[in-house]
Amino acid sequence: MVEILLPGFILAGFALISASGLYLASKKFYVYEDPRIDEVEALLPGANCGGCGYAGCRALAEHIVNDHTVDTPCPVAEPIVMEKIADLLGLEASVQEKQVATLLCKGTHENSALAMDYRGIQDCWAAVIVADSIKDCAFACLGLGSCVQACNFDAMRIENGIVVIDEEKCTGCGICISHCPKNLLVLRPVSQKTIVTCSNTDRGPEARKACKVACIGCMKCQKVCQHQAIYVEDFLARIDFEKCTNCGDCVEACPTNAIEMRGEQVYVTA
Amino acid sequence: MLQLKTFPKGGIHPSQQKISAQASITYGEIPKQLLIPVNQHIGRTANVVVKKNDVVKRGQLLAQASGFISSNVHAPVDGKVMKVFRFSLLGGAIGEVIQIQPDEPGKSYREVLEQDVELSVDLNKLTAEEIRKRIQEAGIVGMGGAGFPTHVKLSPPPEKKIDALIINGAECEPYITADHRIMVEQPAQIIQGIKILKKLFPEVPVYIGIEDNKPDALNMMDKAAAREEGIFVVPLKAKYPQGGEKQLIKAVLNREVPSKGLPMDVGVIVQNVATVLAIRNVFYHNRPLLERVVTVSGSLVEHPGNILLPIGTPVSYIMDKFNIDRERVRLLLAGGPMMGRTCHSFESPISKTTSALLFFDEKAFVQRQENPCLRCGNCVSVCPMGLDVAIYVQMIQKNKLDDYVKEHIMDCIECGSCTYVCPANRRLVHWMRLGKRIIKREN
Repeated sequence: MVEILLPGFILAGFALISASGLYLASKKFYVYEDPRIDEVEALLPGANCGGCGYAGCRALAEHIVNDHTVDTPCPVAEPIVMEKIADLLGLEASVQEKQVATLLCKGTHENSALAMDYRGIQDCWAAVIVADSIKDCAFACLGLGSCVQACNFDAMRIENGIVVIDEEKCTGCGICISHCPKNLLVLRPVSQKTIVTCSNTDRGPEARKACKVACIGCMKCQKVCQHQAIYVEDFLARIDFEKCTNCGDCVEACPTNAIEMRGEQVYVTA
Repeated sequence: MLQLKTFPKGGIHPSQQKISAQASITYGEIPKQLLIPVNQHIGRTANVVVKKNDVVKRGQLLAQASGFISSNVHAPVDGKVMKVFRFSLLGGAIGEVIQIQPDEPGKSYREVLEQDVELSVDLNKLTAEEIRKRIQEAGIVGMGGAGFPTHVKLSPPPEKKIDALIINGAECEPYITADHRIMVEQPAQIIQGIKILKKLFPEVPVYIGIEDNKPDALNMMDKAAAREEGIFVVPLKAKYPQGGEKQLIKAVLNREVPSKGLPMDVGVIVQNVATVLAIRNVFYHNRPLLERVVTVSGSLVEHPGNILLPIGTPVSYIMDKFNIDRERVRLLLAGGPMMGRTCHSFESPISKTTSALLFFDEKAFVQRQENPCLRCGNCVSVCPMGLDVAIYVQMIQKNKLDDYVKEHIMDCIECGSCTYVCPANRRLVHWMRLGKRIIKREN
């Protein structure tokens, strides 16, 4: 009997000593952490995309609780999430409209033909090392998908030589913007429907030669706009989102279809 | 037998293909139109100082350097400025060009050159300051390929003591023979140029590094240098990339340029022979950098040759001159097959740094599928900079640029030796350049 009990007692004794050691250590070296950080983190989407500017959701939660502010909203989460977080901390949430990434180019294969037979590494940055543009237009989307690789939410795909963004899936985190060597991606509020889908700053005739739907800087849109929301600079029309009312006058006035009105059903999901 | 000098680490022996080595330099005619690129150098883009319909004279300033590390651009012929616009250049970039309609199209460029009087230069009267100033004004850039403004190279900060000058006549790239022909045909003029450089750095020995696959150039330069004091011709064992600045310094002087450093950190200045000749012409002809020798070669060229052309000559002119069938051109390279850039427009103009134009057909241009790394280590053993190419490329492919990669990847000189030996046909140099580009983007 003793042969069985003795090892049992010895083991139990060890367990007791170790447990009390652990207990004392946890008391001695205890670091206070605000329990609300965990609560905030649980509310955040957990995508760890870095779109807010912090290293991940935990880092954002620490910033929100420690600095007691909701000044950096999570770009991925629905606005209701930020409201919930604000409620939890007794703060006032500023509701921001959902932003989506937008490609300012319509240089599909039909509109701006390929200028060369590029067979190098299939990456936009690798292509611009070899040639500034692989299409006729020097400003066009290369369609090799560096942004698609960068997107954490499967919201982008290459179709017919340009990038297509699924606005349902896009969270507006803005990661893709820095991954475009041609600087063609911008964030726009989702209610902004009128977009100049061109980035060509060449003079009219050259731009037209490069692409069928290029902005030629003809100023017609600027003249027709009643709200001074659209202006031409460097032979390229630009829209002031603050002033634009999405009336659609410029879309009709544009002779090259370089201005586009985004409807609800522009994107057909594959 | 005397062991010839070379650099010890890595290097390859690609097929030489110097088929135009015995073709003397010919002279082109003035083409119907010239497209002068505004940016033909490393550094800030120059500012265009002419406008549409301006009448320009040969040697007149077209674009003014916009800072110290920048370079002037001059009109190579008399003519009229038609327009200034953006156009695709030989390097693949799209940049501003100045279109000039020459007054006398079809006139032999040799006649134009013969009109330049040969001035007598009193070396004793030239001051170092004046030499630097005139080189800067003449828009001289490194003509070996990189296009670094020469006056910057020749103005080391006072704490860096220069104790050797190396003239780069290695020309290690296959096919290219432009520097080779210059050395064979104008050795005396190169020595005159070297003597001007020696005024900047008195008492400093000058080494002319030439690979042993050019015995005639070695012979001619030897003869020309024999009468001069302090100018030595150094025969080198042919190995690619010996023409790289860092490799040449290692081969000639056995000094190693530190990582991220410049040749002047080890007290050396390297100049290409073509650059030296251009410097000589600044003083002996009062002529800025207006023309250069271009090797025209490749499998589609029946009679490969070396031709002296005004800068801004479109490739299409050269194709007509050498009877190259446009339809058959599958690959057009500006520069050698190792480091040259592929081009996609026959209207692109040659620039100060275009040492060769190579035309290849379908047969010479084989596109192989890129396979996974075999970890054979060939790329590591041939890398002249001693880089772990395979590891870097895998990190770049996985988009994991850690500190180790960032620390060393900028040392890559993009010589292409690794791609040449890779049995898996991996585009190692392209990946390395992509990695460099990403690091630049992140900074």
